[in-house]
Amino acid sequence: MTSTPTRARPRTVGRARAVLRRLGSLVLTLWVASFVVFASLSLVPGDPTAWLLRGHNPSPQARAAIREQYHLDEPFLVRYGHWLGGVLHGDFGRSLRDRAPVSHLLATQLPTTLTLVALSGLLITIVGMTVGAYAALRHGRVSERVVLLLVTIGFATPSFVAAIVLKWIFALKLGIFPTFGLGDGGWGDRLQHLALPTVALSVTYLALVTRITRSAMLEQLSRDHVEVAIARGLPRRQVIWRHVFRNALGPILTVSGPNIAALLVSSMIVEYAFGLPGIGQLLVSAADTNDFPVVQAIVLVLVAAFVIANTLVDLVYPLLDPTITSPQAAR
Amino acid sequence: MSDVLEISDLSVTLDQGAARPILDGVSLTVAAGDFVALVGESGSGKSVTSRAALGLWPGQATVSGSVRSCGVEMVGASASDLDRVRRGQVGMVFQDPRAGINPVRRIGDFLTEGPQLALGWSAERANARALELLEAVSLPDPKRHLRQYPHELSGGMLQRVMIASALMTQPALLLCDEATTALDVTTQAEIVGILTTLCVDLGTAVLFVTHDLDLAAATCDRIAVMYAGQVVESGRAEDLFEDPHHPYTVGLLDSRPPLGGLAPDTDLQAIPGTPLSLAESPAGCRFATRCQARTPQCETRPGLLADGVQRLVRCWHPSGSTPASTPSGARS
Repeated sequence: MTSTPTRARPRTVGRARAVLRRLGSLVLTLWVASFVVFASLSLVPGDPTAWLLRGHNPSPQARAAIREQYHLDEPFLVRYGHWLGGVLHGDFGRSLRDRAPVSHLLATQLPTTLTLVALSGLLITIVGMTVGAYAALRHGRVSERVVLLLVTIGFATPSFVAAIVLKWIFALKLGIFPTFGLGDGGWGDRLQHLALPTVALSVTYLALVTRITRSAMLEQLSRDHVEVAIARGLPRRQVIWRHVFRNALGPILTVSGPNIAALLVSSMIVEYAFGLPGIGQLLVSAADTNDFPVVQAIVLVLVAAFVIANTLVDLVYPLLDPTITSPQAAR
Repeated sequence: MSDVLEISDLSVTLDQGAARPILDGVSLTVAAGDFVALVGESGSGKSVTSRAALGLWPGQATVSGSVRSCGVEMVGASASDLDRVRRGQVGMVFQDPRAGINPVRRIGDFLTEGPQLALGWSAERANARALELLEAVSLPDPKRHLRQYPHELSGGMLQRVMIASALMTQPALLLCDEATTALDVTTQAEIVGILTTLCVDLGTAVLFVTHDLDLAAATCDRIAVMYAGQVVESGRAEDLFEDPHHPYTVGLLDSRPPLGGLAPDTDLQAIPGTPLSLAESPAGCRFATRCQARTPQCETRPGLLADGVQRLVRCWHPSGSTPASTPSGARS
């Protein structure tokens, strides 16, 4: 125990090592996930060639040529190797339906989904945390009970029900928002088209984040360190901001990782309900038509999003709560 | 010498779920620079009394009487009066530093945020004062500690940080609520040593809340013993120790294990019965149900009466060598 730098270095090294280990496990998880995705779709009954030939009955030579072109004649592991090698280069193969590169399909459809999820995430974070904090600070009053009632309703409302109700109120009765598609104008028009889908997608998770924020804030409000801050005459706003809200961020972040992934999955339903050209629509039509490469690519993207979101949460968490570090970093 | 804390006839009643007040006519004064101990078992109201000095009341309670901290009335005080007392005049050291210091903020933040945010000190001034105090509480590496998080320090070190933070503004009164209870005995001794030395140097008066009679006697000039929300006896520490007058004080002193160990075939003298719960509200003396010297007179409530020099006792039959002045039955 001499000077500061010698003490500081092991901690930094420990932190860096923990991050590297986390990234390593991310890669491993993605690799295992890719195998499971590829394998599970190979187990689906039905021969892809039958669909490729669309009822034609070509010569055995032509059939063999098709099987060779799609590597269908090779052993499973070799096919997996081909597919994985392509995926690593951003090549997810070609759609069986229209021969378009899957990466191209993803590139046209994914931005809509991502925009929807990003808008929804923004809405959930801002409104959920604000309303949750408000409810916690109004603990025991009528306004808190109103928030809790809304939270219970929101939590019990699936996105497809929210979609129908929103369309009925805001599109049919009030005529304020469009019900279908993305529009073809600029960003303003696009945002207007995405408004109802964003709300429909957010309802459940908004309720969740509101509830978590409220209970985390209440939990912190009862902590001794908050009483200490009050006993020292800190301005009330600073007590709430520095000691209650700041400490409540941990639990909120914890639910945010799985939330982002769940939003991606729920967005499929919402896209379908509002006729948005996102990967949800793509997935439904691809699954309908046994378009394996497309289904594989989308499922892999979803799994990757899930794993990456959780890894990000794990990496950010120690910054919010210094008591949570890897065992190495703590020493 | 002026009083930094004057509590007179303070009663605190919970609005729900209690048959008797949690504080019932508590009076207590702490003179400038004085060390006063408030002794009692859990639930006797000693913590509520000490918190009253900061205007920190239990939730949903009715408060009557008067609490003057550094001349400012805390019962029904305005927000600005509360802030004035809390920000600079009365400091508090809490029982569990692990819980009392925000785990996600640095030690430096904990020390400087009060003066900086509430009193408008500059960062340099607050940091310089923090370093000075961390040195004064004998922490090994103050500069590094300022950048550390609470989980990187031991309980004893954190309690020193807590003491340093309470003394940042050089308050006239320091409240120590079981400040050493969570620590092991050797650390306890160090902390008490640091605390007394610092407060004597700064001229800060101390209200030392503890259930440890020996610790109270070793640190404080005066001791007030609380039982079931009332002060039952108070006096100079050595008088109270050598010649306890209230049966409860006698019982407390007898129930301490002797340093040399118990003589063979003897048991530790425990006070019979259990402490009064908040649901019980006897009309007479609060201690009567557990008292060996009980008489029919104890069915009526005794007042807190002068019993010798600088001695107050709430009992109809005070024991001890000094013959008690017979109480006339009126409450003082």
